[in-house]
Amino acid sequence: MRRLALFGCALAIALLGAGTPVAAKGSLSGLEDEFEKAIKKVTPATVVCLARGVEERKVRALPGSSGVIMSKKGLVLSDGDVGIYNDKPASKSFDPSHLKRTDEIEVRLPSLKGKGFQSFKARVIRRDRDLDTSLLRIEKPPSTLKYLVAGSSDEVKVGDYSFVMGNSFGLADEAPPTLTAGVIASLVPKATTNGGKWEHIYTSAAVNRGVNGGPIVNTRGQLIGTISNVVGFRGKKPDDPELKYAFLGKCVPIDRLRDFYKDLDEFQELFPESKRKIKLPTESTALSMVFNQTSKRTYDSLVSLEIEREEQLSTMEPARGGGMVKVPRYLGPVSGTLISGDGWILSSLYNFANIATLNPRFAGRWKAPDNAKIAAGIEGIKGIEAHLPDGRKVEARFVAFHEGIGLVLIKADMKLEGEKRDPASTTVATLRLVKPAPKTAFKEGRFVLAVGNPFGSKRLDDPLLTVGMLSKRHHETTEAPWAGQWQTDAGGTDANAGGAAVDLEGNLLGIMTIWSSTSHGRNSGIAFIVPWQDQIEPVLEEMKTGRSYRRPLMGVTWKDEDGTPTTQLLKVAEDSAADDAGLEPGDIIVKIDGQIVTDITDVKKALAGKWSGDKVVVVVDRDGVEKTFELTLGARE
Amino acid sequence: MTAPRRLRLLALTGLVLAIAATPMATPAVADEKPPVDAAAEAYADALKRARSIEASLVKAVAKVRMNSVAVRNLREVKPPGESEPRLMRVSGGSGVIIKYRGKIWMVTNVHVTAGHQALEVVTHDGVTREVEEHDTIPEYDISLLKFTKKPRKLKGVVVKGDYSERGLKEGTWIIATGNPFFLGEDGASVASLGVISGLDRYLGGRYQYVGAIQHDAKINPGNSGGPLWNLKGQLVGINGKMASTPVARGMGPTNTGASFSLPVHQVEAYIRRLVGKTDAAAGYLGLNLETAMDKKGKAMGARVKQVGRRSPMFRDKKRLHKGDIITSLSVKGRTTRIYTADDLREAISLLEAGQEISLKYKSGRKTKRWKGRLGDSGR
Repeated sequence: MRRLALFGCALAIALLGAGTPVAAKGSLSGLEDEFEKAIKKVTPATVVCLARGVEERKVRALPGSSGVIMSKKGLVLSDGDVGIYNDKPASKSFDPSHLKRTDEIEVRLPSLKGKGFQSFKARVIRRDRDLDTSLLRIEKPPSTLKYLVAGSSDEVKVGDYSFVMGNSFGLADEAPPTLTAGVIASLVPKATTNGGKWEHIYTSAAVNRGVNGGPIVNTRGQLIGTISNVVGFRGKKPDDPELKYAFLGKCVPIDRLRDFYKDLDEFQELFPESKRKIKLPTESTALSMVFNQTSKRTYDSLVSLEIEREEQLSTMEPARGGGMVKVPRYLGPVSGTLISGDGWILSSLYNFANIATLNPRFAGRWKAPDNAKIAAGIEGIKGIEAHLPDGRKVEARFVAFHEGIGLVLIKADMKLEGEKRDPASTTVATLRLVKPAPKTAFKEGRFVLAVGNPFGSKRLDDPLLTVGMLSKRHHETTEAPWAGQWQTDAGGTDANAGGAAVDLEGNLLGIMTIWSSTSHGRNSGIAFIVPWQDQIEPVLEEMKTGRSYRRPLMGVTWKDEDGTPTTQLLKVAEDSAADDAGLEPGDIIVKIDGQIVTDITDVKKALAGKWSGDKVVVVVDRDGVEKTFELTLGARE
Repeated sequence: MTAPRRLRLLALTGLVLAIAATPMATPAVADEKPPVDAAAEAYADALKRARSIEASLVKAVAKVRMNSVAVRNLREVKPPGESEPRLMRVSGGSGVIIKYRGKIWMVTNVHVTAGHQALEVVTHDGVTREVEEHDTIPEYDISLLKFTKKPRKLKGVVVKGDYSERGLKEGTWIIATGNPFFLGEDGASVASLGVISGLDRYLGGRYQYVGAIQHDAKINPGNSGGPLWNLKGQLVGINGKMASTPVARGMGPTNTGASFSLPVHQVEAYIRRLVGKTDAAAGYLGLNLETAMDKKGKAMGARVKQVGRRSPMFRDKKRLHKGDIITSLSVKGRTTRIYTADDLREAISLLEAGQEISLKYKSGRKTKRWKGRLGDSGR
């Protein structure tokens, strides 16, 4: 009854919102109606699968599996680990041999009224842990059983909006399952032709423990696959190729499952041809189509970089509670954005060197980029291979880095090996360079498509895509590495850092980057866009000359007056820029490069845009006498 | 590189070229290539729709960020390298400016303000303002703040409505704003889009979340106490908890896609209590409950698993016992039917200590009644 009331209300709101009985073009209420219809189909067909006939504490030690009802006769799809339990839950040391599986399953169905659940006996009729699937049969299915219609996973495209449902963290043991939404982030093609086009589907919708075995559906509520797991770092070596999908949800495509269970007639009947190619509803299709086509166009200017190093990057980072922690790290291939036809490539400094770490433990101070670490990261590069959008592999060289905005510049040699070509015609035939977005394109709440190419030599047809919104702009004066950058909740990952962040139309907002391997990227929803117009354009020409940017440093400490620093020098560090120039403690700085300075903000303003190595003219007041010095700005060691 | 890899590369190159050769949004002359034009037209139409949806998002985000604040929890600490302790921001969170009975307040979580010596908020205009804690309900993680100086130009949002009134269903788009990892401390809050994952969740522990909203907007440490909004820009909840699995030992929790908000109808009830009488504690029943099912698997009531030592009925000879199933609750002559443990928890969470209640329950085959007053948790 309550559900009915809810529905009535929602309908009324939708109608009022649109103004007319027909939803307006591109209306949010239209989109939400479509979502609601799809979710109405998937909710009653999503079940919780737990081991049966085993002590409760052994079952409760693990989150169990989810499943999806496939037919009125009680066929249920789940994952390969269904019925798993921990035989020795009290044991302190975890041993994989404690994990047991039973084919006796309790299938829990949430009551439609949202109160309690129904419980059924079921048996596993087939299980395959490699493919991560199992098929169950409910022994006495009730006549009211709702099931999900199978769609086609072959029709799925990168960028399609999709829903995932399941018993996340065991929260739905006694309540309706958890719903998360996201886009199809990547499609991995199958090597063989049978069993559909895709080996696996990866989604940006949140997948957590317990959701495994649950359904992933399109916006019509048709099943396009079952959830396998969330890709994590645990138990994987740093060079594991699956790490490029870290923190995305891995799904087994329904067409592959159809092929796997092909000898079961009962299962094959679940794929009525007529229902598989139904058009998706309008508004969500529009969104998905734009996400897909725009990201694909952007992908045409994305390169994949393979970095050869003398030794692996250190993965030790300061831990939250003090000390150091080993942070899981993805080693590539990493994404890069081709910004011109003659081979200039931008990528994220994050993937080339260990950089700043946010340390929120004490007063939220960020730890400044460690120059030694950056230098070690950069110097350790032996060679870079760039995989171009047209499939060619070319040599590339590291040109410069910019510590301030967190990018690296790379130059690819666009000529083919041994090829003699007119140097003027070095552009790639299929290249579509991204166009910088105008400043007006930036507004909190606008969509961001984070497009990456971590595929190396195995370039796929489709990019790695996550979608989110512009979360906020950090002001230039913020004392943090992300000053002047835009923050986005589009899933930033190690694999798409260095890739392009574009708007709906495909205009380049900037380059994706991450500043901290402990609290950014991953699945945290915190990533940064280095804006093209504000931050990249002003420094690009200088970087092309091979000059790297490091934060300029004078090497002085300012004298405090009531807690606010003045322009009088308290200390001058030995061998610093100020020391070399002849500045002394007690000097009051009055002018920098002709600009009069009266407080620390003026000093910062005067030094803004300066690089370490730049010369500045400083006028000081020393005991009432004005003296002029020339200072070559240094950098932190 | 091995030979099979090279082969695969070639095959993929072929595909890439094929895709690149298919024009997508290139404006083609209409009468020359009609099929291409149809695709371009479809894309143009899709883009128009997507932009219109985006415009709704932008509008909502602009509206909601105005009332989202960063909360700074200040304590006296000795900074490294200094001899004297200073009042510094050691922790913090988010908050929301509300208007209640014509006055401006702020709502945040108790676990955000806990242990403070002074409190500040940074409002959307970047101004840091001194605030003080009016009162809290520690059991339900709600803290009500007020400005020390009366602020101008701050409007505050209305706190009212329930799930259906606010158009909340599974799958509804919502926006979370706040101050994750202090990234919103300049006053400009961080916005994130998500969907409702589930309603009426119960989370126990030190801070009870009754009837909570679960959602998948990106929530991180620092988002606590911050608002959750619908796309009309109405307040629908206060974020406070997230399920987390640390990526590595020593790394703190970050977003997992399972976050929880106190729903606005609960928040309203809590605020009503805090604004009305500052000394009223939250009602406390002190029963450990679970949902009881009948043979058909239908929820039939809240079964008592344990009677806590602080429970008001603990010393009562006629109290409930383990296994008893509570089926209804009467307060001031109004009876609420109890189907699940959460039904009872939600009803109790809205009552004050000292409130007289009556519970109807099944003990074996008998139906009994317990009458008494709610206690307080002593927190």
